Amino acid sequence: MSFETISNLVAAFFTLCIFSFLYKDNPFYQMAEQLLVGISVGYGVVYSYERIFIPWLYQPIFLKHQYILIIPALIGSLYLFRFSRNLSWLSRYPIAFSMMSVGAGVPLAMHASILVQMRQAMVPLESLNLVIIFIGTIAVLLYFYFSKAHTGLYGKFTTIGKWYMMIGFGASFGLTVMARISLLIGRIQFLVGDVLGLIK
Amino acid sequence: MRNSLLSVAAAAIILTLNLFALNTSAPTGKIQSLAVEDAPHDDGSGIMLSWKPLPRSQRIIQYRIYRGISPDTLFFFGQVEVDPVAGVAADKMFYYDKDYQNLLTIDSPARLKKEKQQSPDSPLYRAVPRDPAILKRLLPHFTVLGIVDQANLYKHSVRVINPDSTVAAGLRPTEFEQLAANPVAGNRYYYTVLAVNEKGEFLPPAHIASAVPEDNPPENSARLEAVYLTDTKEFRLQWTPPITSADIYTWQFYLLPKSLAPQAEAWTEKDGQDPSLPPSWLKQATKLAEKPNDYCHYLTVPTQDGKIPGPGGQPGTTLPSGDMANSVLVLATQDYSGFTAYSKPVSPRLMSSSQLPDEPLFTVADKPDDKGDTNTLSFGQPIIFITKAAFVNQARTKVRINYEVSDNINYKIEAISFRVYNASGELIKTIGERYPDKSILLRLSKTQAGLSEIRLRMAFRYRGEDKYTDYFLAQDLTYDARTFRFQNLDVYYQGRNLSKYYYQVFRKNLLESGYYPAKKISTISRSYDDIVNFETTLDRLVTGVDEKTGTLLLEPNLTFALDEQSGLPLSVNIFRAEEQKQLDKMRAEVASLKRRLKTQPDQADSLSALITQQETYLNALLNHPVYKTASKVNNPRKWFNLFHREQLKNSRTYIYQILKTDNAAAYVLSGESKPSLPVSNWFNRGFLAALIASVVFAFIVLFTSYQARRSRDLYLRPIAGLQEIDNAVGRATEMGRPILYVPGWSTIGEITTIASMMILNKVAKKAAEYDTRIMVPNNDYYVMPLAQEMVREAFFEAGRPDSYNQVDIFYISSDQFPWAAGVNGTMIREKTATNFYMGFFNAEALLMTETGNATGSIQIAGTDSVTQVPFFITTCDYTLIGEEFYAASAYMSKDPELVAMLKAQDYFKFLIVFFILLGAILSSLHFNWLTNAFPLE
Repeated sequence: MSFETISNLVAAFFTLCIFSFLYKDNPFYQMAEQLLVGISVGYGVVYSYERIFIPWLYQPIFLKHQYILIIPALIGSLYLFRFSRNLSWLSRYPIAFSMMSVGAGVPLAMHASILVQMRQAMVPLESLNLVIIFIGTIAVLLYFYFSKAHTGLYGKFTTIGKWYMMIGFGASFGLTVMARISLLIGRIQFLVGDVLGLIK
Repeated sequence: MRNSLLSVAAAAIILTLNLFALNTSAPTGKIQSLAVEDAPHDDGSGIMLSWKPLPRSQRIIQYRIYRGISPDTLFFFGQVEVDPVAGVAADKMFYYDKDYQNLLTIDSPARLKKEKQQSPDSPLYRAVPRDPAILKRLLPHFTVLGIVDQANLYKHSVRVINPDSTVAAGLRPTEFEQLAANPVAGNRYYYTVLAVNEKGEFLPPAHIASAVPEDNPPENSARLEAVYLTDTKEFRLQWTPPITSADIYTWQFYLLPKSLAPQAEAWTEKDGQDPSLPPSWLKQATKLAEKPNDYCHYLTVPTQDGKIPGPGGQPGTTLPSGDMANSVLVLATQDYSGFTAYSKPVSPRLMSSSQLPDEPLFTVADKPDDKGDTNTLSFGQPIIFITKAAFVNQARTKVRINYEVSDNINYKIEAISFRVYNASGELIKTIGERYPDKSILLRLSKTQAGLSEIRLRMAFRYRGEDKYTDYFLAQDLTYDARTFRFQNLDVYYQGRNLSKYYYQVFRKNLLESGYYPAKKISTISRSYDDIVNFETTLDRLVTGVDEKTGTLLLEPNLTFALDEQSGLPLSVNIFRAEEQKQLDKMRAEVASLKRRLKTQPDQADSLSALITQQETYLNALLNHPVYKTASKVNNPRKWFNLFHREQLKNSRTYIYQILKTDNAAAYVLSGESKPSLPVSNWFNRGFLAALIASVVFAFIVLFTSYQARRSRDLYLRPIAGLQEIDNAVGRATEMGRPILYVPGWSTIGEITTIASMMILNKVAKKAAEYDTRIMVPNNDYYVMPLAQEMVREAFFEAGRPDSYNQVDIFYISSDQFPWAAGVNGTMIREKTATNFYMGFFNAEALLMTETGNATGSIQIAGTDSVTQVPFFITTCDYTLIGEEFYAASAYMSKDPELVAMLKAQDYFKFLIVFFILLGAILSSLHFNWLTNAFPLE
């Protein structure tokens, strides 16, 4: 039996194990699920060692003698103190350090996600399409205004915003379902074609 | 029962895999047909490997190539990846050992290491090790290029005295970014190839084959284009070099009678010519010009009174009499060894100088608001061109015309005017486009319906100006019934066809004597951003290995400037003590040459030239302002930094020249631009609006915080999903089952994670108050400790530290679907009563919520992921959309600080709505100043 046949049979077995969940939770599904999680974590550990620890820490410090990197390495290693009941507070420092990037991202978000979008919304209302887009923009924005109850005329206007969103979500839903079905087709093609050889 | 079934299934899998391992026989698949030969048309630095790929059934994933200077030691140095399913369709696979292949990197082993799965007597080794002794053995057989960080060379290299008492800069192998090597002509090299299959097995290597690279004649595939200007009597030549052009020394141009063209063509097409012998037809050819090989493949050859001017204005070769239409031109490509190849003969196009393109006018400026790595070249005025035009109604009275604007930093376009003419030149309509949205709608009257030809004339109105420019842009559109669209014809600018020509941008920095091509762009482009990198690495030839210090040796000089008068590159030694010795040595050489001049008058010419050259160099060096300043500095580091700064400045200062050409020798060369050094700008004006908006937002936050402290009664409208959180937690308590909180698929530095963690804190507090178990499965090991902190704090705040169980906030996997599978498993086995999905989600969202739905849990989701909101809406009981998710923590806690933040966001949103309304109204009235105040991208 060739390696290809064996690997196809193993893949088919696990595909069926996962599909068996459609009936109900069962040991085959549990085994497939736990193997998937285990392999992924194992792979992650090796990947982190080979692609992060070695090229970004070991090689620069020990081979290239870039000793400045010892400082971030020490800060990062404070995470390990989570295993100590008394010193676990030390692990908060690398967390706090990582949080810095949130603040650094604020000006960029203000620029790209708000001001550029505002400019794109300030279109001259010269055609029906532009008017529809404009009303949608304002209505959706006001839907997320929390300081006023959605009542009266204002409430009706924000309901228009809700409808805009629902139409958008519907389109997105349809698109994603199609993508999911294509994934299912891929799996079925594998089972029927590669494994059973019924599709030539 | 379940556990035993699980064990049986796992055992079955392991058994199958073991059986498979037992059943597989020893690997076969030795490559049988490896051929190693000298690469053609090069300078002897290339070797070509070829072999027949193994059949697809072998499921090969990689071919690994090994090279050595003796058959008993071959090092891995290259690989070819292969798709194991598709295999290789070609009959032969090729690999070229040329153009400086990798020799050594930081990943190379420290010591000699046998290749994997090899027997003790195998000659195959992993990559060349970082062992100086082995490198010393290899170095004489290769031209080795060291790619090194400038800081390493200039600041960390050690001074090594060579056996000839000169000084070199020594660097350890680990201090190089990479070493790359080329074979050297005349040496023998040994190669083998082995295949690796998808099981990771190294199949037996092919037999070891060898070759000696040799200097070969150049390729004869150069393509020449020629123009003869009948009024100014000059030739314009432009050519495409052969692919292997690194070994070319000169380009030579010959003029032949047309009657010899068949002979010349036959010579080119016939293989096996003796490259050292000139063809017979060359005797009747007139040599027009000769040009040393550089990167500028064009040449103008003027003539005067039927002659080509010789050097120094002396009369040169006489041109053959008669019409140039009866002549052909041939390009001879000569390499450094004197081998020559000849291109196919071409007839020159006869044209007058008025038919040439106009001289390209351009400006060069440092790009504003950048980090200092771009020079912007701007060509003339902006251009509009039509990209698509089609009827949009059945009556064919409306034409949607899409256009593109090609502009530059010298002009700010305020409005565009389109004049539309029919085929007979009658003006149909004038359309003003005050908001350039790249689309106009042409409305035709019923009599004009179905127009098959449209002629467009376009003009601009620039910002700050009242009038439009002339209608200097023209483009005609013709309707094509087959495609139901108008076909776009060429774009004309002031009567000149833009679609026909190209701008070839050449550039050189202040350390280079010749121009290099930077980019070829269409003349429709009006701007080109030339990236001027901050170079951190440099390439240097490795001259030797010093085993005592364990270092590889490089030339220790720094070229910091080019002398304006003589064009000589000015260098200093990076070791200050050596610089003075070097100067003294040069002075002594000049003195010695002068003494020889007196005693050997027969060599006066060559000695005088040498003395002049040396003295010119010394004068230029000693009188350079930086050298003068540096000579007063004692500190060697400061002394060197002066030269390094000058070198950085000169290497980043560029001069530009533009060749406007039709790619067939009808070209015009612009003048040189002024030198331009891009500098880093402290302030990016494109972010001015962001700064103002951030400051305004900050003030609003301060105001709402003050307001919240004074009056705790700030109104927030009810949100159903948030009001149900209490009930959902209560339900879990009543059922005696745990709560599952899924924090989403985002990392620690994202706002979504922060929002999710804040909600987790509030949900955990509620859970703690009811003494209900809460489980948090994580996919990010940086977020997990944060989640643990949040839950721990919540339990402490609720006065139930004993109920906090750190193990319930756990890590599953960083991969998307294993994490989803783990979350699903937790839901099923722990029978969670309430599931929260708060954060950013991707495709796993539906997998989780469907499982939650199947297990009968109450589910509340909140996300800013637009693509996943639809799935949450359809599968969860309550969904927080976008901003509602961010508002959740303030809603739940009623904490004045958080509520104040939410209020501030509301006021800011109100400002956004106000400005959008105002901007839309103003731009509808053709006032674009407010719109233009906001950033475009």
